[in-house]
Amino acid sequence: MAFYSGKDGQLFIDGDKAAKVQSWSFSSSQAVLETTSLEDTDRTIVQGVRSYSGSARLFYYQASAAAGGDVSDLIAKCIKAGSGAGDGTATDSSSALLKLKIVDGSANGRFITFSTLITGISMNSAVGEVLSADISWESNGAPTEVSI
Amino acid sequence: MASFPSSLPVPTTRSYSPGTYPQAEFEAQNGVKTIIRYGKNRTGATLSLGFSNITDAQAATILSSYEAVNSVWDEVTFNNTNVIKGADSTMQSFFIERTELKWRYAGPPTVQSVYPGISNVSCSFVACLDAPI
Repeated sequence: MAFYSGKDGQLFIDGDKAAKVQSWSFSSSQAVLETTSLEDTDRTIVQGVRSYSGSARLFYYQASAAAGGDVSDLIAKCIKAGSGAGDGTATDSSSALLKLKIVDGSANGRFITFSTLITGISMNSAVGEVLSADISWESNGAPTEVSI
Repeated sequence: MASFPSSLPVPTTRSYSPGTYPQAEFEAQNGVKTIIRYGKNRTGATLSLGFSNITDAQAATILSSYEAVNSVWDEVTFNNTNVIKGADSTMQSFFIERTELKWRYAGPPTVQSVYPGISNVSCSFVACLDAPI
Protein backbone atom coordinates (compact mmCIF):
# COMPACT_ATOMS: atom_id res chain seq x y z
CA MET A 1 0.00 0.00 0.00
CA ALA A 2 1.25 3.49 -0.78
CA PHE A 3 0.12 7.06 -0.64
CA TYR A 4 1.00 9.56 -3.35
CA SER A 5 1.69 13.26 -3.28
CA GLY A 6 2.45 16.08 -5.66
CA LYS A 7 5.92 14.75 -6.38
CA ASP A 8 4.30 11.72 -8.02
CA GLY A 9 2.10 13.73 -10.37
CA GLN A 10 2.89 14.36 -14.01
CA LEU A 11 1.09 16.09 -16.87
CA PHE A 12 1.61 15.17 -20.51
CA ILE A 13 0.54 17.55 -23.27
CA ASP A 14 0.11 15.93 -26.68
CA GLY A 15 2.33 13.08 -25.57
CA ASP A 16 5.17 15.21 -24.19
CA LYS A 17 5.83 15.50 -20.47
CA ALA A 18 5.13 19.02 -19.30
CA ALA A 19 7.81 20.74 -17.28
CA LYS A 20 7.17 22.73 -14.09
CA VAL A 21 3.63 21.64 -13.41
CA GLN A 22 2.41 22.81 -10.00
CA SER A 23 -0.92 21.03 -9.98
CA TRP A 24 -3.52 19.24 -12.05
CA SER A 25 -7.07 18.24 -11.36
CA PHE A 26 -10.01 16.72 -13.14
CA SER A 27 -13.64 16.05 -12.35
CA SER A 28 -16.33 14.04 -14.03
CA SER A 29 -20.07 14.36 -13.77
CA GLN A 30 -22.92 12.09 -14.74
CA ALA A 31 -26.17 13.71 -15.80
CA VAL A 32 -29.35 11.84 -14.95
CA LEU A 33 -32.73 11.59 -16.65
CA GLU A 34 -35.66 11.36 -14.30
CA THR A 35 -38.03 8.46 -14.78
CA THR A 36 -40.23 9.07 -11.73
CA SER A 37 -43.83 8.26 -12.58
CA LEU A 38 -47.17 8.95 -10.93
CA GLU A 39 -47.21 5.76 -8.91
CA ASP A 40 -43.75 6.18 -7.43
CA THR A 41 -42.88 7.23 -3.89
CA ASP A 42 -39.20 7.66 -4.60
CA ARG A 43 -37.34 9.33 -7.44
CA THR A 44 -36.03 6.98 -10.11
CA ILE A 45 -33.44 7.82 -12.74
CA VAL A 46 -31.52 6.50 -15.71
CA GLN A 47 -28.15 7.64 -16.91
CA GLY A 48 -27.73 10.64 -19.17
CA VAL A 49 -24.53 12.06 -20.60
CA ARG A 50 -21.19 12.18 -18.85
CA SER A 51 -18.85 15.17 -18.93
CA TYR A 52 -15.31 15.85 -17.78
CA SER A 53 -13.39 18.99 -16.97
CA GLY A 54 -10.22 19.93 -15.20
CA SER A 55 -7.57 22.47 -14.53
CA ALA A 56 -3.83 22.76 -14.12
CA ARG A 57 -1.31 25.29 -12.95
CA LEU A 58 2.06 25.48 -14.70
CA PHE A 59 5.01 27.78 -14.21
CA TYR A 60 5.77 29.86 -17.30
CA TYR A 61 9.12 28.22 -18.04
CA GLN A 62 11.46 28.32 -21.00
CA ALA A 63 14.59 26.18 -21.33
CA SER A 64 16.28 29.13 -23.06
CA ALA A 65 15.31 32.60 -24.21
CA ALA A 66 12.53 32.67 -26.80
CA ALA A 67 12.38 28.88 -26.76
CA GLY A 68 8.75 28.80 -25.71
CA GLY A 69 7.42 26.16 -23.38
CA ASP A 70 4.37 24.25 -22.28
CA VAL A 71 2.38 27.34 -21.34
CA SER A 72 3.18 28.88 -24.72
CA ASP A 73 2.00 25.71 -26.42
CA LEU A 74 -1.27 25.69 -24.49
CA ILE A 75 -1.85 29.38 -25.15
CA ALA A 76 -1.27 28.79 -28.85
CA LYS A 77 -4.07 26.22 -28.81
CA CYS A 78 -6.75 28.57 -27.57
CA ILE A 79 -5.59 32.09 -28.41
CA LYS A 80 -5.15 32.71 -32.13
CA ALA A 81 -3.89 35.99 -33.53
CA GLY A 82 -5.98 37.68 -36.19
CA SER A 83 -4.69 39.38 -39.35
CA GLY A 84 -5.27 42.84 -37.98
CA ALA A 85 -7.42 44.99 -35.74
CA GLY A 86 -11.07 44.01 -35.87
CA ASP A 87 -10.40 40.60 -37.44
CA GLY A 88 -13.35 38.46 -36.42
CA THR A 89 -12.38 35.36 -38.39
CA ALA A 90 -9.15 34.07 -36.85
CA THR A 91 -8.21 30.38 -36.82
CA ASP A 92 -10.27 27.94 -34.76
CA SER A 93 -8.90 26.74 -31.43
CA SER A 94 -7.03 23.45 -31.39
CA SER A 95 -7.54 20.45 -29.15
CA ALA A 96 -4.99 19.26 -26.62
CA LEU A 97 -4.43 15.66 -25.56
CA LEU A 98 -3.87 15.85 -21.80
CA LYS A 99 -2.62 12.85 -19.85
CA LEU A 100 -2.85 13.15 -16.07
CA LYS A 101 -0.47 10.64 -14.52
CA ILE A 102 0.53 9.33 -11.12
CA VAL A 103 3.97 7.74 -10.98
CA ASP A 104 3.42 4.66 -8.82
CA GLY A 105 6.56 2.72 -9.63
CA SER A 106 4.93 0.55 -12.28
CA ALA A 107 6.09 0.65 -15.89
CA ASN A 108 3.27 2.91 -17.08
CA GLY A 109 2.03 4.44 -13.87
CA ARG A 110 -1.62 5.29 -13.32
CA PHE A 111 -3.14 7.74 -15.76
CA ILE A 112 -6.21 9.11 -17.46
CA THR A 113 -6.10 10.82 -20.85
CA PHE A 114 -8.57 13.32 -22.29
CA SER A 115 -8.87 15.00 -25.66
CA THR A 116 -9.65 18.48 -24.52
CA LEU A 117 -10.41 22.01 -25.54
CA ILE A 118 -8.72 24.61 -23.40
CA THR A 119 -11.55 26.75 -22.05
CA GLY A 120 -9.50 29.26 -20.10
CA ILE A 121 -6.00 30.48 -19.47
CA SER A 122 -5.01 33.19 -17.07
CA MET A 123 -1.58 34.58 -16.30
CA ASN A 124 -0.59 37.28 -13.86
CA SER A 125 2.83 38.93 -13.54
CA ALA A 126 3.38 40.42 -10.09
CA VAL A 127 6.27 41.53 -7.93
CA GLY A 128 7.54 38.75 -5.69
CA GLU A 129 5.80 35.96 -7.58
CA VAL A 130 6.99 33.44 -10.12
CA LEU A 131 5.07 33.78 -13.35
CA SER A 132 2.59 30.93 -13.75
CA ALA A 133 -0.51 30.13 -15.75
CA ASP A 134 -3.83 28.63 -14.67
CA ILE A 135 -5.54 26.66 -17.37
CA SER A 136 -8.98 25.10 -17.43
CA TRP A 137 -10.26 22.57 -19.91
CA GLU A 138 -13.23 20.45 -20.87
CA SER A 139 -13.04 17.02 -22.44
CA ASN A 140 -14.33 16.34 -25.92
CA GLY A 141 -15.98 12.99 -25.53
CA ALA A 142 -14.99 10.15 -23.25
CA PRO A 143 -11.42 9.77 -21.94
CA THR A 144 -9.21 8.06 -24.51
CA GLU A 145 -7.42 6.08 -21.78
CA VAL A 146 -8.51 5.22 -18.26
CA SER A 147 -6.01 3.45 -16.02
CA ILE A 148 -6.09 5.50 -12.86
CA MET B 1 -61.75 -1.20 -29.41
CA ALA B 2 -57.99 -1.33 -28.82
CA SER B 3 -56.22 -1.27 -25.48
CA PHE B 4 -53.52 1.34 -24.94
CA PRO B 5 -50.17 -0.52 -24.75
CA SER B 6 -50.10 -2.26 -21.38
CA SER B 7 -46.30 -2.63 -21.50
CA LEU B 8 -45.81 1.10 -20.98
CA PRO B 9 -44.87 2.35 -17.52
CA VAL B 10 -47.10 4.58 -15.44
CA PRO B 11 -47.15 8.05 -17.08
CA THR B 12 -44.89 10.76 -15.76
CA THR B 13 -47.70 13.31 -16.09
CA ARG B 14 -51.42 13.00 -16.59
CA SER B 15 -53.97 15.76 -17.12
CA TYR B 16 -57.72 15.16 -17.28
CA SER B 17 -60.70 17.36 -17.97
CA PRO B 18 -64.26 15.91 -17.72
CA GLY B 19 -65.63 17.94 -20.65
CA THR B 20 -68.78 19.97 -20.86
CA TYR B 21 -72.52 19.51 -21.26
CA PRO B 22 -73.99 20.37 -24.67
CA GLN B 23 -75.84 23.63 -24.18
CA ALA B 24 -76.33 27.05 -25.59
CA GLU B 25 -76.40 30.17 -23.46
CA PHE B 26 -78.32 33.33 -24.26
CA GLU B 27 -77.93 36.53 -22.31
CA ALA B 28 -80.57 39.19 -22.65
CA GLN B 29 -79.81 42.84 -22.60
CA ASN B 30 -81.00 43.06 -19.00
CA GLY B 31 -78.46 40.37 -18.03
CA VAL B 32 -80.92 37.53 -17.69
CA LYS B 33 -79.41 34.25 -18.91
CA THR B 34 -81.33 31.49 -20.62
CA ILE B 35 -79.61 28.13 -21.02
CA ILE B 36 -80.87 25.50 -23.39
CA ARG B 37 -79.46 22.07 -22.55
CA TYR B 38 -79.45 19.72 -25.53
CA GLY B 39 -78.39 16.55 -23.76
CA LYS B 40 -77.80 15.11 -20.31
CA ASN B 41 -74.37 13.61 -20.97
CA ARG B 42 -71.13 15.53 -20.80
CA THR B 43 -68.82 15.13 -23.74
CA GLY B 44 -65.42 16.27 -24.94
CA ALA B 45 -63.49 14.95 -21.95
CA THR B 46 -59.74 15.24 -22.51
CA LEU B 47 -56.85 13.20 -21.21
CA SER B 48 -53.21 14.18 -21.81
CA LEU B 49 -50.38 11.81 -20.98
CA GLY B 50 -46.66 12.49 -20.75
CA PHE B 51 -44.02 9.78 -20.65
CA SER B 52 -40.56 11.12 -19.81
CA ASN B 53 -37.31 9.33 -20.55
CA ILE B 54 -38.77 6.05 -21.78
CA THR B 55 -36.97 3.73 -24.16
CA ASP B 56 -37.38 4.16 -27.89
CA ALA B 57 -38.99 0.70 -28.01
CA GLN B 58 -41.65 1.87 -25.55
CA ALA B 59 -42.15 5.09 -27.51
CA ALA B 60 -42.61 3.03 -30.67
CA THR B 61 -45.49 1.11 -29.06
CA ILE B 62 -47.38 4.39 -28.64
CA LEU B 63 -46.81 5.26 -32.29
CA SER B 64 -47.93 1.78 -33.34
CA SER B 65 -51.05 2.14 -31.19
CA TYR B 66 -51.83 5.48 -32.84
CA GLU B 67 -51.46 3.92 -36.29
CA ALA B 68 -53.52 0.84 -35.42
CA VAL B 69 -56.32 2.85 -33.79
CA ASN B 70 -56.63 5.80 -36.13
CA SER B 71 -56.16 3.92 -39.40
CA VAL B 72 -59.53 2.22 -38.86
CA TRP B 73 -61.18 4.92 -36.72
CA ASP B 74 -61.15 2.70 -33.65
CA GLU B 75 -61.20 3.80 -30.02
CA VAL B 76 -58.71 3.35 -27.19
CA THR B 77 -59.37 1.86 -23.77
CA PHE B 78 -57.29 2.34 -20.65
CA ASN B 79 -58.79 -0.44 -18.53
CA ASN B 80 -56.13 -2.65 -16.96
CA THR B 81 -53.27 -0.44 -18.21
CA ASN B 82 -50.73 1.59 -16.29
CA VAL B 83 -52.30 4.81 -17.61
CA ILE B 84 -54.76 4.93 -14.71
CA LYS B 85 -52.34 4.00 -11.92
CA GLY B 86 -51.21 6.46 -9.31
CA ALA B 87 -54.80 7.59 -8.66
CA ASP B 88 -57.46 6.22 -6.36
CA SER B 89 -60.31 4.12 -7.74
CA THR B 90 -62.76 7.03 -7.97
CA MET B 91 -60.39 9.02 -10.16
CA GLN B 92 -59.54 5.92 -12.16
CA SER B 93 -63.21 5.52 -13.10
CA PHE B 94 -63.09 8.98 -14.69
CA PHE B 95 -59.95 8.11 -16.64
CA ILE B 96 -61.65 5.01 -17.98
CA GLU B 97 -64.88 6.96 -18.67
CA ARG B 98 -68.40 5.65 -19.14
CA THR B 99 -69.00 3.07 -21.87
CA GLU B 100 -70.88 5.50 -24.12
CA LEU B 101 -67.89 7.85 -24.22
CA LYS B 102 -65.11 6.64 -26.49
CA TRP B 103 -61.51 7.74 -26.15
CA ARG B 104 -59.84 8.65 -29.40
CA TYR B 105 -56.50 10.24 -30.17
CA ALA B 106 -56.99 14.03 -30.25
CA GLY B 107 -53.95 14.30 -32.47
CA PRO B 108 -50.72 12.49 -33.32
CA PRO B 109 -48.35 11.74 -30.42
CA THR B 110 -45.19 13.83 -30.15
CA VAL B 111 -41.85 12.09 -29.66
CA GLN B 112 -38.78 14.01 -28.52
CA SER B 113 -35.43 12.22 -28.56
CA VAL B 114 -33.34 13.26 -25.55
CA TYR B 115 -30.55 10.69 -25.42
CA PRO B 116 -29.57 7.71 -27.59
CA GLY B 117 -32.40 5.24 -27.11
CA ILE B 118 -34.34 7.50 -24.75
CA SER B 119 -37.36 9.65 -25.69
CA ASN B 120 -40.06 11.84 -24.21
CA VAL B 121 -43.56 11.19 -25.57
CA SER B 122 -46.75 13.17 -25.14
CA CYS B 123 -50.14 12.07 -26.38
CA SER B 124 -53.63 13.42 -25.89
CA PHE B 125 -57.08 11.92 -26.15
CA VAL B 126 -60.62 13.23 -26.42
CA ALA B 127 -63.73 11.32 -25.34
CA CYS B 128 -66.47 11.46 -27.91
CA LEU B 129 -70.14 10.54 -27.98
CA ASP B 130 -70.59 8.73 -31.25
CA ALA B 131 -73.83 9.11 -33.19
CA PRO B 132 -75.94 5.95 -33.14
CA ILE B 133 -75.56 3.87 -36.27
